[in-house]
This record gives sequence, C-alpha cells and structure tokens, in this order.
Amino acid sequence: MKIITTKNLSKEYPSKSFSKEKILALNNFSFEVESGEIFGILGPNGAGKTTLIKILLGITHRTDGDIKIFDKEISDESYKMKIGYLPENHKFPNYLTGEQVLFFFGKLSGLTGNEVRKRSDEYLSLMDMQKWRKTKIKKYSKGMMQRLGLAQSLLNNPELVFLDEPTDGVDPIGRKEIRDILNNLKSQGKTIFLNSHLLSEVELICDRVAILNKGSLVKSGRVGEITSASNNFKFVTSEINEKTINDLLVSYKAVIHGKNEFIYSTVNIEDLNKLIDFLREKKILIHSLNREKDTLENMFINLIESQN
Amino acid sequence: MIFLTLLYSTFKEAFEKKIILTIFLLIAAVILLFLSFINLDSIEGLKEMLMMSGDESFRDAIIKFETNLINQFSFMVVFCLLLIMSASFIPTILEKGNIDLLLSKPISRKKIVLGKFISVVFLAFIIISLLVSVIWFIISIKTNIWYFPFLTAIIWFTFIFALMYSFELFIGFVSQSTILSLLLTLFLLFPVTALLSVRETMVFSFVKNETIKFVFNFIFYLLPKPWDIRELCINMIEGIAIDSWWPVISSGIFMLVMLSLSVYYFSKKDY
Ligand SMILES: Nc1ncnc2c1ncn2[C@@H]1O[C@H](COP(=O)(O)OP(=O)(O)OP(=O)(O)O)[C@@H](O)[C@H]1O
Ligand SMILES: [Mg+2]
Repeated sequence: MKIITTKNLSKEYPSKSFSKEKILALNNFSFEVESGEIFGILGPNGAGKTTLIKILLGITHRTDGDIKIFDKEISDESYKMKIGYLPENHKFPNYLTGEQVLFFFGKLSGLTGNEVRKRSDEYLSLMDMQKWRKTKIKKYSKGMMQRLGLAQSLLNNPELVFLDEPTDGVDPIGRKEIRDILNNLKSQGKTIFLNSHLLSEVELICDRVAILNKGSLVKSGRVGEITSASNNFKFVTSEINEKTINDLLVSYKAVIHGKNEFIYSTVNIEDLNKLIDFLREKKILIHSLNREKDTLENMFINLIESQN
Repeated sequence: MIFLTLLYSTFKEAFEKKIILTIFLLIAAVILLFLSFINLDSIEGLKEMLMMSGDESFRDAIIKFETNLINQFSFMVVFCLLLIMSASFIPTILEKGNIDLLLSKPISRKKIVLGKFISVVFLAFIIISLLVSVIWFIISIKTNIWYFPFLTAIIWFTFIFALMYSFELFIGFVSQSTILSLLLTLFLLFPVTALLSVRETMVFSFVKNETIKFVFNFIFYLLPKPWDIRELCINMIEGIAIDSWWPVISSGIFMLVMLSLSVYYFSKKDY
C-alpha cells in the first residue's frame, strides 16, 4: 500500500534579495513511499530535503502539485494524528525538563495525560534518557537533545515517522542504537521517512532512497539496485615476485596495491579465470578474491558532480 | 483540550521566564507604597472630617478616591507593564525548530492563534484581578465602605488589555520581533490613542485645518480607544449614565479585525 504519493510537487520561495529571480526549492518532484519501508532522501546541502518534509507536514505550503498521505489530501489535518516528526535543529523551550517536553508535545499530539506518562517512561528508557528526565534541557548535550527529539517523535505511536537528520550529533554507539530502534519500528510495520547526510548509514538502514539535487529527483530505487556492483576484483595473495608483478601490470593492466594485493578490472569472467590460472601456474596462493561494490557514497558523489 | 495545553505552556513560560515573579514583586511594591500612603495622618484627619459631615458624603468621597486611582498615570504604568510582559510570547513560539514541530501537530493554525491569545489575556486577567481586588480590599477594610462596583474595573481593564494585545499579537506574527511589537503597541497606546482621545478637547484648539481634523477623526474611528474606555469605566463605577457605547463597540471590531488578520497571515505563511 502506498503511504505517501506526490505528483509534480513544486515549491518556489520568494528570493531574499531584491533580484526578481525566485528560489526553486522543489521542481516537479514525484515519488511514492510504500507502507512499512524505510525511505531515505539524500542530497547535498540546499537540495530541498527539508523543504520536502515541511511540505508533506503542512508547515510550508506547496506552490504546485498533488500530495496524498494515507490516501487523503493533506488539507485534512487528521492525518497528523498518525504522524511523528523530528525537525532538523529542533528547539524546545529550554526551561522545560525532558519529561515536560514530552508531556507538552504529547498532549498536542492528542494523547491523554496517562498515555503521555506511560509512553514517556517507555521511550525515555529506550533512548537511555531515564536519568536525565528531570533535568532542564538547557543542560543537555547535543546528542541528548537528539535522543529526546526522537522520543518525542515516537510518543504518539505514529504509523509514519519523518526524521530530518536523526543521527545528527549522536555518537557512534548512539547511532547504532538509533538504527536498531528504527529497524525495530520497521518490524512493527511502521513507515519511516528520513533525511540524512551520512550515506554509509543510509546504506545500512534504508530500503529505498531518492536522490535530490537542486530540487529535482536525480535517481531513486532500492539501495542494492542503485549501487550496482563494480567490475573491480580485489585479490589478496601470497607474496608475488617482481617479474610476475610486471606481467600483471603489462598483460593484465592490474592496479598493484602491494606485494600481495592488487585489483583487476574486467567485464569478462573468462578473463578473470585466466588470470587465476596464471597465478596458480606461478604457484601463487590466493587468500581471498572479492568483487568490489560501489558504495552509495561513490555513486552519490559521481552523480552530483556530473550534474554540476 | 488543546486550549488547556496552550494555557499550561503560556503560564509555564511566564513562570519560568520569571515574568510572573517580576509582576508580583512590582504589585507588592505598589501595594506597600499604597499602604503607607493610606496610613498617613492627613488621610486619617480627612476621614474624621468627612465622617462628621455625614455618611453619604464620606461614601462619595471614598468612591471618588477609588476612581481617582484609575488616573491617566497609573493606567499608563499598568498597561506598559502588561504589554511588556506579554510581548515575547508570539515571537517565542515562532522560533525556528519550535514552530515546525508545533505545526506538525494535529492543531489548526487558527486554534494556535486563538489559543495563545486567550491564554495571554487570561494571564493578564489574573494579574489585573489581583491588583484591583487587593487595593480595593485595603481601602474597604480601612474605611469600612465596601463599594463593589469598583471591581468592574477588572473586566474593563482586561478588555482594554485584550484590545492592545490583539495588536501586539498581530505585529508579533508579522515581524517575529519582541521589541518591535512592544514598541509599536506602546506607541499606539501613547501617544497615538491618547492624543486621539483628547482630539476634540485639546488638539482641535490648536489645529484649525478641516482636512487635518478629518484625518484625525478618521484615524480615531479606526483605532482602538483605550483612553475613552478608561473614562467610561470610571463613569460606570461612579454610577454616571453612559451616553455612548461606541468606543467599546468600535474597539471590539478593531480587536476582531486584528485577530482575523493574524489568523490569515499565520495560515498563509511558510515556516
Ligand atoms: N523559508 C525559506 N525562505 C526562502 N528560501 C528558503 C526557505 N527555506 C529554504 N529555502 C531555500 O530552499 C532551498 C532548499 O532548502 P532546504 O532547507 O530544503 O535544503 P536541505 O536539502 O534540507 O539542506 P541541508 O542538507 O543543508 O539541510 C535552499 O536554497 C534554501 O535557501
Ligand atoms: Mg535540511
């Protein structure tokens, strides 16, 4: 089932300076998010990722296009009951304690006092924030704020969660914990929509991604599909003598990384096996052989650079 | 439900930012001053003198004394304080990172505007009630004259506050600046509306030009009339018949227009 559908979404901001030119933050952007998946939006700074989330949540108004969330137009506020949101650089009133923040925003989400208390307990422990709950948030560190923000976004047991850079400022252990929480949410059938700069992380967690640049969709698909396998094969072997290295360089155009490591590129599996035969003839032991995969990061950087 | 939550957050904010504490300290200071003043021998002497000339005139003098407390000066001071107290609420909720989250909740923008307006007016109502009733109580217990109509000042003051605050709120939404909305609102209270309220008795004795007179009158009808309502309030307390409710009605219209404009502006705006 489709949870979010947008068609030809556009957003123009009036420009700040006196020039007539408007800022096109989103340009004819169409995409769909399936129920129960983790969907990631990638893009360089200023690509329009935050703008997209804000439009989906009715915080910013679109200039043009159609949006349906839970199969309803977003002019009907009721969908917000089933939604959680973690804004980028969120700023809660800093005189509140962690607990009070959850209480206030939980009430605004339509929870009763008892529900808020029960669920605050649950999520504060999940985020490892129990011992800070009675501390004013002006004394929180950045990572603690982020954890509280995440607890806040999940408090109303939403079916769809929007996270704008959820791991921003969180240490590696905390990031791992957040990934586990998101995976756990996914296993409960929730849908997660997230923005992130941390491509390695997106790779670890997202089912599908869309790449946004200057407001336009550049590429989208399953993470495994858009990061196609490369044609590079990495060999780790026993020590190779000078003469053989020379052969590898000249006849096989290999890239030598050391006396027992090199990379061979080919599209032809026959050639690969010929090379293996050659190595075995020279009594070289093959310790490992791996086909390298393009990382999301490489793909992303190549894509964005080719556009600019 | 939503209104209660917004009310809670407004009071919490006022409390945590020490707004309430400051206001109460000021009120306490005013009341202490007032207490020492009312204890002066001269007042005691005056009281005896009036007592001798009959019950009725003593009662009238006390009522006069009470309504004299609502003079231009104390009116000005009280409203300046209340407007200073209330100026930051709107710019605070509009801060980036906070407004995004607020708007992602299932509340309409209209309810946020009205909820915030009602909460702040309610806060002012509590402060005004305390101030007026404590002073009234001190006078009454001293003189043993319990003149209840004086308490209607609470209603009128709250109404005047709501008028001025609707303007402050609108400017707060548009400018997102505490200082600007405060300064413009204070400017509206004094000198703008103050001069307009005395335009016939004072200003027009200097200004003879008909066009300028017309402009003055025109602006007068558009803007709220806190000073005229103050007089109306005094007249009511003293039991003098009110000849025109026009200042109240036109000011009420001004307030509704300000609130509608705020709702309209806030609903259209991108955050
Ligand atoms: N309120 C606004 N008024 C005018 N222009 C805006 C506004 N908000 C965003 N923009 C512009 O829209 C474009 C997209 O901004 P957006 O915040 O969506 O980028 P982003 O992809 O989230 O970037 P980042 O990765 O840095 O968070 C930028 O050019 C930005 O300057
Ligand atoms: Mg962003």
